Amino acid sequence: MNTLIDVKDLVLDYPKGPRFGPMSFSIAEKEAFGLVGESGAGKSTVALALMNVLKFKGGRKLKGKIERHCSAKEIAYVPQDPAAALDPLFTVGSQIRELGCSEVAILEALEKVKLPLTGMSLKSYPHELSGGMLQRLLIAMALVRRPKLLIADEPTSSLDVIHQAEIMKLFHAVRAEGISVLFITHHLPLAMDLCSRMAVLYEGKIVETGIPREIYEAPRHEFTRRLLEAVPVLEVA
Amino acid sequence: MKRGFLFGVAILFLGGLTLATAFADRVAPYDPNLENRAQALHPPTPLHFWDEKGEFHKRPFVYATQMGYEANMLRTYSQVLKKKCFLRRGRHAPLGVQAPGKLYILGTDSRGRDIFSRILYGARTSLSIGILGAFVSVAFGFLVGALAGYFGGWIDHLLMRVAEFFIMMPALYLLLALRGALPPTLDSFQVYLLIVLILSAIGWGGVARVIRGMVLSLRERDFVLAARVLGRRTPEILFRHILPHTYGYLAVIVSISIPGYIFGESFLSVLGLGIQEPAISWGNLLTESLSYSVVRFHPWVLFPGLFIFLTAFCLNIIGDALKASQSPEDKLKENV
Repeated sequence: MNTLIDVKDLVLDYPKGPRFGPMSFSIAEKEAFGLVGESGAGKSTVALALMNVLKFKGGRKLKGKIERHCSAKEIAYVPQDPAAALDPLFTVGSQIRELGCSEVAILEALEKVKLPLTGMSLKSYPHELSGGMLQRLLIAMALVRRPKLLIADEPTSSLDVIHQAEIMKLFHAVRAEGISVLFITHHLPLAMDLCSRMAVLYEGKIVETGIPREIYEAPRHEFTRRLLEAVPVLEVA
Repeated sequence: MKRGFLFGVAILFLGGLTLATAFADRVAPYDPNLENRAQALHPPTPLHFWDEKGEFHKRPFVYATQMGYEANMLRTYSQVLKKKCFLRRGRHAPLGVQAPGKLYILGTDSRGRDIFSRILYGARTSLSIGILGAFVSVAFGFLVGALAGYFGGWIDHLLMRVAEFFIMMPALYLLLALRGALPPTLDSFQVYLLIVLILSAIGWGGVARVIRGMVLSLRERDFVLAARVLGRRTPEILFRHILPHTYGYLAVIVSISIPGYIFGESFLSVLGLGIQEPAISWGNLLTESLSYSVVRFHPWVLFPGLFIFLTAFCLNIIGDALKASQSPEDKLKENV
């Protein structure tokens, strides 16, 4: 299997404050890689660095190597908060067309996410759609450019469990199409459900890498154990 | 409901004024420069329906007047009761009266010129300076603010310190200093442009600061990040996803700041630093009222001031309405 992205000894330095890394991982073609960690562990920062849109302000420095074996156009991004990721001033339709893809490709992508946005609803504004619809829309917008890698940053954290399950189904479908997924989440079970390999991030460092089953059965790090313990088990009184 | 009513009245007033101003040569009853020395400082002419015998006339009329002097050598105008002059279509204007009567709607100034006609012609200068000044300064402030906000760093630092310098300076002194620094012998069109420039130079700082703040927060929004992920270039992102969010504010600030520029022009002109005779502006119409004795006995020379006030008031109402239409609550209501 070819490697799509190879991260070696990535370190992010802040002049005052935490230091992320060094972390190394790689994502292969047609693989779903999970990055699990608590808030502030540096998950989103890693995603931004991978897409080369990390801002260097206040003396923030990036060291190490990120090797991309695909072009920047072949990386798509699904953000955490779908409502914030769309410009509230423009209709959904005009923002899809801004991607510069053909109408056919757009309709096809919308079909894939089971979001039948016909002429009328393409004229609606982002605030007129529900969170679940928006997240589907953003996944469609990510897919429409036929990416090789889809980076999803907490794509379900603003959704209720029903919508979350639907969105997870979509990610399984994306994977089945042979698109690599970098799935960033704080919710361990979601990553275990989707990913073929995963890494656990704790205080800016990767503390554990492996296939989900191994990690589930024999967690090596204390933090992973705590994450596993925190997963609720349904007990009916 | 109430806001809507006021808004309608404001739009009507400003629309009417703008139309009357644009077609001043067809609306004004008299040539604004026509001097009728025998009727200097003539009070507004009253319209009558009943004559001295108590008889009703369907068509209103005015009495011809005759000038005299009272004990303190002040001019008085007495109506010559026998001379009824009925209202009729004027030769050029929709309103006129039969000779020898005169229809001075808002009276005359010290050289016997019709104040109403002069207000209409003066509005051409004053309104256009107001609008032009507001547009130039808002456009400049917008440009500076957008650059400072988007690029940040030393560009932001430099531009904002310059803006603060202009905000910090007391506007009045800056206005006088700028005017003083520029040559006094200019023709009226040059003076006109100069005033626009000076007024804009004073006004752009505040706009720049607000726009900078808006851009600063907008550029951190997720949809801007999304555009960057898509590989959009800086100007594209700036014009398509950041600046459109500031247009609502711009519309409000333009309508609210126009009165400031009209005041600025009036202020300079009253002091003799702005528009000079024979050109007419609301400001130099008010030079008449600098003398207390004139205002005391001939208060109608203050009418240009009333027009400045009404225009400013209406623009503020419109600005408020625009601002309200920007607020999220109203947008939500629209969408329900």
